[in-house]
Amino acid sequence: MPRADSARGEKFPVDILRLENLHKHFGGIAALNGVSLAVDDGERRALIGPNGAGKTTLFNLISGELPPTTGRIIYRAQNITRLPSHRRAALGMARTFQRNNLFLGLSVWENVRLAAHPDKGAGVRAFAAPNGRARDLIEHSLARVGLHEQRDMPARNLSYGEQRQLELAIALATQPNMILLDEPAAGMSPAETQRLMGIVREMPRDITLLIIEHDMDLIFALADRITVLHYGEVIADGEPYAVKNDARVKEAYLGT
Amino acid sequence: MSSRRLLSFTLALAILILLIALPAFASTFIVKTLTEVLIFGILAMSLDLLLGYTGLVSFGHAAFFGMGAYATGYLAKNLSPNIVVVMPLALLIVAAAALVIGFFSIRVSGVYFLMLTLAFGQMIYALAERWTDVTGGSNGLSSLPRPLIELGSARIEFDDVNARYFLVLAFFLLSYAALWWMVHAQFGRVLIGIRENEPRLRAIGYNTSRFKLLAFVIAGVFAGVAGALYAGFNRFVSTSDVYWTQSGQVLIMVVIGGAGTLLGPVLGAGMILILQNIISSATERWQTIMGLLFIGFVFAARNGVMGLLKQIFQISNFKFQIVKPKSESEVSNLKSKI
Repeated sequence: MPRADSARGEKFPVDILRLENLHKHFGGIAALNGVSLAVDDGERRALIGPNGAGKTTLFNLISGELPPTTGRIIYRAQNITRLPSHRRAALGMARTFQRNNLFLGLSVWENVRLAAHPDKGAGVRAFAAPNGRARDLIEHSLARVGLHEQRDMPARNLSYGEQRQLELAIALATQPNMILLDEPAAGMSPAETQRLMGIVREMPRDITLLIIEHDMDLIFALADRITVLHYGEVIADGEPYAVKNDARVKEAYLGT
Repeated sequence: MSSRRLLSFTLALAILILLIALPAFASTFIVKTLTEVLIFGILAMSLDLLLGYTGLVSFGHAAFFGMGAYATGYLAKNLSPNIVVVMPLALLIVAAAALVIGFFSIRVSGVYFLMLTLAFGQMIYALAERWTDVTGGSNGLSSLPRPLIELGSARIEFDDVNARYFLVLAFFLLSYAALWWMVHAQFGRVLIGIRENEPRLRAIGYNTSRFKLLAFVIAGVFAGVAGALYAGFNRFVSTSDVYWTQSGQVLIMVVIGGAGTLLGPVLGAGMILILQNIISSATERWQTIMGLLFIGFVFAARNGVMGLLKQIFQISNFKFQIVKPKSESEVSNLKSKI
């Protein structure tokens, strides 16, 4: 559901996210070595690469968990390189995590309620009950991921697959322009993966998706474009089938 | 109203009536002890906002209790014993101090937060020892005037034990209601969210530092309320009230009573103070016995008295309601709205 206010309604027909020459060093190790890429508004972009290629590190830089060593991150025409993660979330950026990262002691409904609440800065409204709009948002987010029946269950009692669905509901309830999905299908059964694929595919087209995933079927079913990361560098970027047949990509995966 | 809610409502009403009627038949000793329990109940509840709800182990909470007590005592002696004048001023001082101490303390977490709050607490203790003009130093602040309320032509003096008991009871009920409302509002859910998973909360857009600071100041102010009441009840404030052992004792009250609940810390305060009074009249080794009790709770009943009560009455925190599944059309209708 797109935001109603005018700042949110603005369109960025070119790139919603642009990374310029991002470097990230951990001590002497370069996890990212000059990554540049641009994601179009509304695009579904897959980010792939062998283990240790720097995919999750890149996510952590984009969402603000980690600062880059050098380079710039431009989101919706704004330089967010030094912005803390909660400010990026306020700009409409949401993410899910590789491992389930929920408020396990709270109920499903309360998990989503936290995400949907309009006042996240400890103002007076932080003491108010959710209003009608927030309630609608919670209900819609739960319905979209198919968790409305489990709404009163504590999050810790959900199955693994359901917890991943709740991750998505939390992301949706922040009314994002863009969601970073870190291996959404990791550890899921084939049936659960199918259900998840359906949920992601049915997401509104005005939410840009950046997906890290290993499941190639899922990527080819969802992605408009694929970016391949290898040893912290982009080695290919293009349409799914072009990337699949790229010689350097084959080399990276097969190690020949 | 479900039968369980009816039961807890009836129980709460019965306890309230008992508390109000108590001075009519109980001895002065019991009324005095209960007054003390209610004061420390407020203090323990306020600490639990940090410890049980937000997951911040503060080891310097006596600082705010002590500041509330010293400020009230000093102002009562030098300005006016009128609570309406003195209490807001004292709480303002406590809030300002909590804002400064909190500003630095919430920047770190875990054991560093504990050490920093302990260090700030001991700084306040050192200040109380040295600033003899205001605090009386190691002699303490003694022979404080009896508290009174003067508002326009209305004047209530709290001269006897029962009157002071009712004053404390009123403040206790107000504090309990205010804290209950806070932890059940969105604010309280955010605090629990910080305890459960702070990075995730930041990732969905929460400025968690500001929530932690706000919780710290609120907890400090309610500790100040307890301190102010203590000054009026005890009519003597000494440096031992701001010493770190006082902070430790409140922590023990919260843990024994049950962190993460409001009633638990009150029960913990009651248990410790009553046992302390009973055991210390029988043996000088009461602290050994309290220590053993604490160890027993940490090993066998980590959720404290409240956890035990919940087990006994099978009251679980969550309602496992069976929700009628929505029909297919309802679901697709909801989906299309997004």
